[in-house]
Amino acid sequence: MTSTTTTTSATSAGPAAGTARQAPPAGPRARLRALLRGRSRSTTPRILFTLLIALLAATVAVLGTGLAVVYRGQHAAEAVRTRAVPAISGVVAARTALVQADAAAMESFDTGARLVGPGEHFYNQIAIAVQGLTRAAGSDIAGESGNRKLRTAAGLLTTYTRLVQQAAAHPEGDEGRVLRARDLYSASQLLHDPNGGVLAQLDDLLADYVAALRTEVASGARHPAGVVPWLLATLAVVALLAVTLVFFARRFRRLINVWLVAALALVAGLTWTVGGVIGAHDRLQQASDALVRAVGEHRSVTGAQGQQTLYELIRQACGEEAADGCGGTVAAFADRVAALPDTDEADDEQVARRTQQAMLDAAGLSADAGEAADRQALVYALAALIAAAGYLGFRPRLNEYRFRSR
Amino acid sequence: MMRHRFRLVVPLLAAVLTTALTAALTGCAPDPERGVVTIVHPWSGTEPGQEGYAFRQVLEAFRAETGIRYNEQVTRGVSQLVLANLAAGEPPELAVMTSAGELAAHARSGRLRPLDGLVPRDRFRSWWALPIRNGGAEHIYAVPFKVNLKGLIWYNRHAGPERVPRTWAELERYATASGDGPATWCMGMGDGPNTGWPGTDVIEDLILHEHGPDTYLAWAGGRLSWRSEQVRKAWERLGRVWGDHAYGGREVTLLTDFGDAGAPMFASPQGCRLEHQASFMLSFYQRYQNPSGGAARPGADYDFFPFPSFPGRSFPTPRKASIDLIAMFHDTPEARRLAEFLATDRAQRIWLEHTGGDAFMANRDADRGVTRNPVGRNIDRHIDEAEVLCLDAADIMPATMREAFQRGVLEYLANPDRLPDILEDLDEVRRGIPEDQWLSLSCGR
Repeated sequence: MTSTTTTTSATSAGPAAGTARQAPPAGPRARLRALLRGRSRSTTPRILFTLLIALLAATVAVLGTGLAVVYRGQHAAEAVRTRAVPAISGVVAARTALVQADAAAMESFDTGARLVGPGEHFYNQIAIAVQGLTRAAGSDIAGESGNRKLRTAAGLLTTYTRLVQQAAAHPEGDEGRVLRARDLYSASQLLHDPNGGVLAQLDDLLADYVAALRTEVASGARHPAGVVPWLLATLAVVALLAVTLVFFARRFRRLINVWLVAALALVAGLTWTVGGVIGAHDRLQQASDALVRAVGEHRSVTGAQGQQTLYELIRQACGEEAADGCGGTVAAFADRVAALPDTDEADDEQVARRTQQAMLDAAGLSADAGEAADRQALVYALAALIAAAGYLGFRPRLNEYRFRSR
Repeated sequence: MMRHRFRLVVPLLAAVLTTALTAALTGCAPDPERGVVTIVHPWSGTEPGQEGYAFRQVLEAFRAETGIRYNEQVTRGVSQLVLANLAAGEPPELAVMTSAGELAAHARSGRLRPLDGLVPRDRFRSWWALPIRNGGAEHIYAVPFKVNLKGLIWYNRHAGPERVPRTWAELERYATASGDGPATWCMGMGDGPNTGWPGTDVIEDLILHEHGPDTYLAWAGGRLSWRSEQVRKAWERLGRVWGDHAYGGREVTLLTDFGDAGAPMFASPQGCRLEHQASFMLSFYQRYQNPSGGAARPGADYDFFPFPSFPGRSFPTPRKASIDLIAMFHDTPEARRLAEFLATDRAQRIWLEHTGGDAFMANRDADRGVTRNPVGRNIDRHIDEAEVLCLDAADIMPATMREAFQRGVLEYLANPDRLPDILEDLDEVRRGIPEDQWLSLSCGR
């Protein structure tokens, strides 16, 4: 270690001694130029050692930041696949089922089938709605606030079902007809009331879930807090390898260092690996946007047909008179029904199908993104290989000085 | 020297590493909702003057004072929602209840947390705080918040009775007089899952005013049969004096929501002349128009008279009220703070200020300095000067009985011939309810 000792003593002689031998280059650029030219022979082993340490540290940084990107990608994909999509699909299924249940009940009462009450289809749809809400409850994606809204909707759903069942208990004839209409109207209010009705609660809940979905996707593999440090670390490794190659070429007259070139290739591989995670996240983002649009469209499903049938039932209960002849509440209801979009069951089913497809796409792409992000082992391996290749590239040069010191 | 050469690289790498680790450790763990209190209530509306808006101002004042955030769950079916949440094992922290019977049932089954010490009883009429005996000791389980004086008969001053009926005979004569003019009663039974209560209110008033508080409380407490003469007569009067003289007939009565029922009173041509309702109509009617096209004004365009008395009674004139009670189902420091705050005159005054003084609060000091219109002052005077003030009977009854009562009223209005069957059914429900579920309350001053 002669040279090292010499250098140390030269350095320890203080700035004056250094200046007497050779003035230190002023400014960082000048220092970098001096380094690349290898002007100070006595500092070469230290430069080699420092470059190696810097390269290894930067490789660790690439590993850490790369893993952070991968982790974010995985976390987002997992959250979307296991929490956001099930929650949204649960509420959408519940909402669709409730609108269909309402229409089925009104249809059943309209056909005068008192003995079957609201009908089997009503009960099936209510069961589907309950299942949907249960599925959403399991996701826990919107926190306590979301759970509270879910409980509110579930509580109101119980009352809604009771009111519809109650409507079936009235006898035939004028008396039963008006009481049935009253119960069905109360149930319908509970379902459709824009201020706190079941559908409004579910819409509110969907808005929360969509916001949570957006947050999860935004915090994924493309988040700047993950991507920027990873890019910087990667650039640092590439820069250090480039600086080292130039330094070796100038100082040791070695035009190509195979190991360092291999390290550069491995960095490219690592970049491709992490970039793949980011690319998969792009597709997840697109699927999420499509899902948000589908949910928005789904919220336009108001069950106009059920409401129109209910209005007919009320009109019959009032003796086929005009809306005004049945009081202010019915007149206002008639206005609301008239203002409903002119959609039928087929339109609603189409919207439901599109929403379902968007959810399937989002689920599939989140699964793909999750698989694409399942690359920690590859990131570890590539980072280890970069470090190893870097070390092997430095070793012959370091050995030269080790032999000299003997 | 070398130390200086690479001093640019080291900080850069350190920064990269730090950023990387920070980014890696930035998780998405859910933020636990500490410092938040949830309250379930029935008051909706986001516009100034509406109940929902007023209550939000109260909650905002609470947040500003304590820094505690709040969550509201607004629904007309508070009872149903509370039951659903209890069944799920996740009760709300606070809920606004109108039924003392339900409150007592929850308290006795251990689902409510006592609020002793949080409610300054000297600031409320003693019985409004509803002390409930539970496990040998008497506890306060609710903050009395808002009061509604019930049994008021509202009329349009431009087209109402020439002389306000003072006795039952006068009212009966006025209501049943035949003529080609508007119908006597504006009636609407609808209120979502609580449909029917405007009819139960009439029956309660008839029993209270004809037979007095003792009979009234015996009936409300499950000790008087539904088939008794006193109760049956009240039902018959509901049918004969109200049902037969209601605007639009029984279909309209059954299919109209209580909030829409008063509209024909202000319509042109007028559809109905009287409405039996509570003090909250003071603000409801202001959305209708007076003859000159402006908003109807209390006193100038509409007024009320109290439910008339029956001849030969031997008891002081009773009045009837309902109270919105705030109960605590889940004891947290935040819930206690909010319950304590809602009991203060300051909190209750905020509500008053945001409803134009058209509400009546339980805290005696809440309306200090609040200007009321003449009708509001009159209602306030009736509350203050009532010789006997009783709680709404349906509110005292157990939930099952109350629901059956409301259903019974609907069925009776739809077909008055079924009265004997309806009363028999109601009595069967009464007999099926265990004695300890009935609430024994007295009327107070």
